[in-house]
Amino acid sequence: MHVLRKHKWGWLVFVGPSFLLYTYFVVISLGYSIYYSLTKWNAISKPVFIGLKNYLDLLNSGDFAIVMQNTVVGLVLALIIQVGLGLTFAYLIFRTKGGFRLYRALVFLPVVLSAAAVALMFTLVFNADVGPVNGMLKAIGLGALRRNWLSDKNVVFFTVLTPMIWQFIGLYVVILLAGMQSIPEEVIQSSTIDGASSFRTFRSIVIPMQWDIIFICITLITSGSFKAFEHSYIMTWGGPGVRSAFLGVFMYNKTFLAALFGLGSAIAMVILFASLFITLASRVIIRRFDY
Amino acid sequence: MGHIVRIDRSTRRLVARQRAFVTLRHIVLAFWCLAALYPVIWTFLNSFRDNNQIYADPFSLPGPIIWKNFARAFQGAHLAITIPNSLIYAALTVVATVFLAAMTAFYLSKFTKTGTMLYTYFIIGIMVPAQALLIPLFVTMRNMGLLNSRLGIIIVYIVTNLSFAIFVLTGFMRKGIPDDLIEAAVIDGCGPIRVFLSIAFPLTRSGIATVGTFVFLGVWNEFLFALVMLANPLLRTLNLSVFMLRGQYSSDQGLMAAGAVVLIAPAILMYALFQEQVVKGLTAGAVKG
Repeated sequence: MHVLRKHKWGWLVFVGPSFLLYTYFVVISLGYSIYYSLTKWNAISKPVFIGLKNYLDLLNSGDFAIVMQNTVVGLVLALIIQVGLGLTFAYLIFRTKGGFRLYRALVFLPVVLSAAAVALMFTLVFNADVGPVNGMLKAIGLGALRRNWLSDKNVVFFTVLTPMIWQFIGLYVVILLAGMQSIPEEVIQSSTIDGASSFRTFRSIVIPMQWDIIFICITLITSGSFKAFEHSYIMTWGGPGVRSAFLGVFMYNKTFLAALFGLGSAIAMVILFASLFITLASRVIIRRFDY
Repeated sequence: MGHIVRIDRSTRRLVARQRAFVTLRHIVLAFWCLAALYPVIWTFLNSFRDNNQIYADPFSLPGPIIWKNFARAFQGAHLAITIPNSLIYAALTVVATVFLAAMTAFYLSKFTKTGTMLYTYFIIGIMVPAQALLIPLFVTMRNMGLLNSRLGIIIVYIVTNLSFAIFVLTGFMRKGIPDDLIEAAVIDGCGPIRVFLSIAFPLTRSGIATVGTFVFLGVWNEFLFALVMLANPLLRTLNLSVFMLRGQYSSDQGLMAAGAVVLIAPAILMYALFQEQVVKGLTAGAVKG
């Protein structure tokens, strides 16, 4: 806009405040984070520079291996369940004329709740004595499967993963549904007139036309899995041990409970670079899809 | 005659089959909605029952409705303090973020060509997960003496939402404000600040509503920074204070259920009132990367 460009001071007035805040609290903070990750530091004495030792410690740590394994297994399950159910239900809602808005509204509801509230609710739901999970197992004659869901180290990981997956299915349903609505109506109609079954239309028309949106969902689920915190922290404090911990909880415990700010920063860097890598890689791939 | 009857019969069969499919679809969808909402419903019902009732039969409807869980949650979680705290943090963050981002977006969309270095510089922040900023922001705020302060936590919430807000609003301003209008205003003697306040800001209303809902819900639901930065009970957020019930009263099911209900009720209310806005805000927030 040339008429405005002659005001050379526009920069200072309009961008100045955001620029200062953003630069000081985000950009410079990241610089500090990288530096802290190369030190041994308890946040009180002076940081001692130790090079890459924190990162090597992580690689040699059994706990870190379990946390990474949790992250990867959780990610794979989330991808299968959230994309699978998301596509199925988005399509069911898409082909439904009556009640379309109602279903969409109900399905999306868990997304707006705070993760802390959801975690608290599922703590009650998985309660070994009065929770409905054990209650239902007993009611259908599978009482033998009842567990102490929140403390049994063999199942606790799945207990924590359940609300994480449950809460966000609705988000992917709505994103995929929006994609399906952008498919021209004639395409769906003509396939129906040609005698294609609903499932056939889904498999041969809807899915192929949705690849880029499915891909966005995959990216979101992946980068989200590196940021998980509340569910694991609130339901089990990541325990027993680190059995149900994800990277965020591991970082919090090492930093604020064990006062290992250097090691905590190294974990933060793993979170940062994993998310950056996934976001950038997905951009490259999306661009290739679009050509 | 017989011919016509046969067609009629097969059409009828087709219609019947289709109708069966429609019904089946509704059954599946309704069942799934119920499954999706079951934990919420169960928690809601149990928030009106005491421990004896819950332990006796966790599934039945509340017999005599009991309100004391809410009264006790209100005291135990200091809701009279923490609800206003959460509202203040969310409202001030929304106002500050929207205003700062709108000014920056105005400059980026109308003073410069698209795709400048400055734009990229701000947008990179979207890719940075808040967790990567937790430790350095904690240290910086401590050194500035802003731990346990309203200003400190609000600054944290502003800077972690700023990039996304700038991204969305720049898009809205590029498309939504005709250059002719600005030119006409400038010819009539408006300065840039006047143009921003009387033309750009009002014309970006729907973008501002989207960003505002996203930021409000984000702050209302935020947990990690509040946990680390607000040790003072008088400054805690609703989220944090309800979570702390879990430590103190973990065996009191009804009380925790009441806490969870207090926490989710405002979000559900906001969703019910501004459904389109909330869906748009949250899906835009999700697709931002």
